[in-house]
Amino acid sequence: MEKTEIERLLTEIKAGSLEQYEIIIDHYQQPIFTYCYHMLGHRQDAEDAVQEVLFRAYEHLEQYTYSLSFSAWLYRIAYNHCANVLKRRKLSRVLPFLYNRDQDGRNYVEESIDSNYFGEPLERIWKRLSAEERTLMFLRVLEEREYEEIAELMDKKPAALRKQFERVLKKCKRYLPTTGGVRNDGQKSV
Amino acid sequence: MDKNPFKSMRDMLVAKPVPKVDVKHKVMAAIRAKENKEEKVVKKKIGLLVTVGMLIGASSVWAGVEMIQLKNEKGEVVFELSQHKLQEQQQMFQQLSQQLSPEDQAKMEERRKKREYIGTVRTEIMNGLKPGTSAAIYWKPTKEQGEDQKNIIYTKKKHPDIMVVSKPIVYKSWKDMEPIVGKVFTLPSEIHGGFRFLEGEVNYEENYEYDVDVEELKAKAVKDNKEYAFTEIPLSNKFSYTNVAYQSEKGKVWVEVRIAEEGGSGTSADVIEKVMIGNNEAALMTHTFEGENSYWLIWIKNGTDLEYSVQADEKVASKDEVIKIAKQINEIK
Repeated sequence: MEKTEIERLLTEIKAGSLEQYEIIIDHYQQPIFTYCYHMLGHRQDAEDAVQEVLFRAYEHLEQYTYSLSFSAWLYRIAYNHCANVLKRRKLSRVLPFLYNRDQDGRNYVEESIDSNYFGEPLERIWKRLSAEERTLMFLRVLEEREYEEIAELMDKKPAALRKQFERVLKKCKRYLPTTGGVRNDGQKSV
Repeated sequence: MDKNPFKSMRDMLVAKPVPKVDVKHKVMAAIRAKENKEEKVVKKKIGLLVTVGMLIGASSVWAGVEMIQLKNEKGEVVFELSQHKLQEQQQMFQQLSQQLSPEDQAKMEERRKKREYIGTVRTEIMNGLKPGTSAAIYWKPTKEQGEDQKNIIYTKKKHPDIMVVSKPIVYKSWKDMEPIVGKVFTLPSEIHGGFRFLEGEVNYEENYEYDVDVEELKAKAVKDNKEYAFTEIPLSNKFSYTNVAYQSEKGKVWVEVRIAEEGGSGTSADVIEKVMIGNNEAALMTHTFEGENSYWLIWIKNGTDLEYSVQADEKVASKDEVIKIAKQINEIK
C-alpha cells in the first residue's frame, strides 16, 4: 500500500471512520505477526501480541505524528510488547514460584517457548539473543532491510546498528554447527 | 553448516514456516467494545424485587450496570439495553439469598419448583393446540397468593389466575407469509450468505380480552383433582412478532420482527456494543459459551415501531456477516 494511501486512511480513522482501520489491519497483521512469531517463537503468544499491537496502535493513533513511517511505528509497538513478554519469561526463570508450574515443578510456560517452533540449532542461538538482537536479526537477515530503515524504527544510529549487527553475527557463529551434517529435523544442512 | 553466519541464519529463518493469522475480528471487537464502554452509563440502581420476590426490605442493590441507548434519527431514545452478566447476577442472588432465614430459603426453593412445573404444563398444553389457536389456563392460587389477591382489584382483561398460551402458524416460504404480515413489514426470501427462508412463525398478542368463565375452569380443576384446567379461546388478531429461520449448509440464522415495546431489555451477554445499520443505531450482543460466540443484533427501524433482530452462532455467520444481513433487511422498504 502506498504511503499516501496509508496516510489518507489514518486521517479518516482519526476523523472517526473506524471501518477504515480494518484495511490497516488487513495490510499489517501478517507482517507484524511474522515479526512477533520470530521474536517469541510461540504461535499463540505471537497471535496475542499482534492483537495487542494493533489494538494499542488504534488507541494511541492520535500520538502518531507521521515523523516516521506507520510501519516503523507499528514495529516499535511490537518490539516493546515482545521485549516485555521476553522480560516476563526471563523473570519466570528467575522467580519460578511466581509462575505456573506443573506437578514436577517445571515451568511449562518457559518450556513451551521456542522449542515447539524452532528446531536446533536456531533455538540454541535464538535463546541467547536479546529482544533487540532478535529484532535486528529479523529485520536485517530475514526482511533484508537497510540499516537506515532499521535505525528509524529502533531509534538508533545506522552506524551503531551496523556494529551491533556484526557483534550479533559473531555471537551466532559461535553457536552454529561448525561442520556439515544433518539437522535434527532431518534436513541436510548446507 | 555454512561458515557465513549471515547466510546460515537467513537459511534457518527462511526455512521456518510462519502460520497465517487473521485477528481482524478480534481487534475490531476489542476496539468497538472499548469505545462503547466509554459511552455507557456505568452506574444504575437496579431493583431485584421481581427476581427475589420474597426479599422484603432487601429489594434493591447497587451494581455496575452497563447500558446502551439506541436513538432514532431525531435523537430520541427508542431502546435501552442493560447488561447484567450472568455471573454478576448469580453473585448478587447468592448474596441476597444468604440473608434469608432457612424457612424463607425453603419457600424460595418451593416457588422455584412450582415455576418449573407451571412451565412444563404450559408447554405441554401449547404443544397440544392446533396451529393458530389459543388456550386460557386457570391455575389454582396457593394460599399465599390467595391472601394477596384479596387486596387486589383486577379487571377482566387479566385475571391473576389465568394464563393465555397460543400456538403460532408456521409458514414455509415468504410467499405464504407475505399476505399475513406484508402490510407491516417485508422480509427477503434469501439473506446475505446464501441463507434461504426455511420457516417463519407469526405470533399474536395473547388474548386477555376474551371473557373466560373462570368459575367454570375452577370447577373443572376441582373435578379433575388438578391444580389447573384449560379451555380453547379465539386467537387475538393483534400482531406481536414474527420469527423466521433462514438456513444454508452452515446452519441457521434467525430474524425476528416485533412490535417494539417502550423501554428496552436486559441481557446477560458477555459483550454489548453499539453498531450502525444504515442510519439506524443498533445494539450488538455477544454471548460466549464454552468458547463459542453467538451474536444477537437488535435495532428499532427508523420511522417505524418495529424492533428487528438477527441471531446467529459465529460458526454460522461472523459478526460482520450478521451486520450485513441486518443492513440488507433494514434496506427493504
